[in-house]
Amino acid sequence: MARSLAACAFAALMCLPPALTAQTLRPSVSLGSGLVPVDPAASGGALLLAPRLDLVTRSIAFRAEGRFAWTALTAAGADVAVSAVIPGLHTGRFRFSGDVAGHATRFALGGAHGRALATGRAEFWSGDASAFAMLAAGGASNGPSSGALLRAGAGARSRRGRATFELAITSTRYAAGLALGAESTVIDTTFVNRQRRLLEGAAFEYTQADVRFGWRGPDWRLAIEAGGRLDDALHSRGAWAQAHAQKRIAAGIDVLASGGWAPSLPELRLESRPIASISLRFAPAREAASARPATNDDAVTHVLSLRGNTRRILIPHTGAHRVEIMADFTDWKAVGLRNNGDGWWTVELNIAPGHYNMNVRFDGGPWRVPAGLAPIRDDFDGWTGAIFIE
Amino acid sequence: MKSLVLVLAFASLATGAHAQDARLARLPADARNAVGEVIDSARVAGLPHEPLVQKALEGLSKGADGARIVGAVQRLADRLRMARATLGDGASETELVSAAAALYAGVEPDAIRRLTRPSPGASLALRLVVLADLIYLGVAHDTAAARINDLVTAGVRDEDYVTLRDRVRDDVRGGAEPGPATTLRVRALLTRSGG
Repeated sequence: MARSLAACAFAALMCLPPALTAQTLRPSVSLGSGLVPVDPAASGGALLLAPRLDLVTRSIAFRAEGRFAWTALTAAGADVAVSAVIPGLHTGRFRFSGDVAGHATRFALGGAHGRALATGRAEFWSGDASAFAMLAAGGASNGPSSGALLRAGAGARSRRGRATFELAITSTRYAAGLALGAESTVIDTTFVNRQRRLLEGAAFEYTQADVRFGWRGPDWRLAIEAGGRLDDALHSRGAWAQAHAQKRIAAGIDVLASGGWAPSLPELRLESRPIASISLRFAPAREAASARPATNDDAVTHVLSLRGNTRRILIPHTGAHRVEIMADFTDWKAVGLRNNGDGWWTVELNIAPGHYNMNVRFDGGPWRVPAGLAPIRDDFDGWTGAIFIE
Repeated sequence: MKSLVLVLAFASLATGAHAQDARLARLPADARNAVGEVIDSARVAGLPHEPLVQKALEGLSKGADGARIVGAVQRLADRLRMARATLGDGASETELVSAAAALYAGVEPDAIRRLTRPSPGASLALRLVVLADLIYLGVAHDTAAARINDLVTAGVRDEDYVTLRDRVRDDVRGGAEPGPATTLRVRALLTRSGG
């Protein structure tokens, strides 16, 4: 199981905020190498390969991905490196998220060497608040955390403008989280996270806190994460930090880099240790397969149905620092959109089916007709865009 | 018990006649009262009143004066009333709003009425929305109504109307003439659907 950490650095890169999810089929593959924790007694370089296929429709998001690492092991303390290309790690995960009976639902099945886990989660939204319940079952067959795992929990989320507050309680953990999104900047922090883990069958507890800052530009992303443990008798290093960067270097090609210190996991006998990796990610079909035009000159406003009456509005624009809409469904109050980082701005709102009028403005400028909507006179010497939501 | 019901019914009518949406509190007093009367009148006639509230809020957010806002709300109420007369009492709120939008785009009531015949798999509201959109894209009223009528006759589905609107929009953005582009796209849809 410890080997699963070999993919941590790479996984962190893959966990950068996902790109815009429109109705699209998007395959991609990442190829890279780096210095990663591999084994409780060793660290070494690894060759990493991560193919991924995203399929997003109006109501479901499906992702199939694999992560494969071929590790050149170096025994700790040995003068001579013993290198071999071995299939050191295979992890797989199936994840489905979408609407079931009008409510957001997510299922995940995962497995790594000696470990399997199935989780289910259902979330019920009402306006800007939601409640969710989750159940996880699985087990590990090797390592000090061997044994069956059964975890149940519940929680709630509430959105207020750009802030999302979350409380979650499970049988092994309780946590409070806060996320703030402001255009191209995201702050995501878990300020209380009390966990109970098992070590050789004995329970121990600790408190963990972490914070994540993210910035996005038209063709780049940067994320910095930091965290630490408190009240942990097993802990030998209290803090950890990592930085992840992604930059588009050509159409369909991104370079990903990651570095820092991985969190220690004393229950797995893993100390905090440095990580570093650099990868190339290829997504050649992104533009070709997308339901959206590739450039803003051709792009039009989209509304995607998510769960129930929750809709994601997508406005195309590059170069703006602030994008706002106002419409029949916002009581004609300005609502800010979040920069998705790829020329699209998004916001999720609760909108019943119907016929609406909408305007958009960029950087506080005049109210305009959103791209692609039929422009109609608004009775007030201006124009508005008509949109029909099914 | 009977007297209590009567009192409640009277109270309900009394408050209903003067009930004002709290969102309209930002309107100047005169305009608020005038808009309130238009909305009350629409409510009594069984017309959707939320679009009227939104029209007032739109004017407020766009800095229009009170008289302008009252005029816009009144005109929208008139269009909703005409939409009801055109579509009949069984029309849904969305259909009425869509028909009002089509009337605003300049579509004649008779042309709207011709589109109301049942067509499995396609909503009347969407037909009206696409009709109005085509007109705003520059297609002549008669041409747009005739082509949508062709699709209704062929019984195409909702997504075909959306496809038509998107294709014509792309064509027009690419420099095509709106009318011929619409005719060509409709012909292609009908060929594909066997119509």
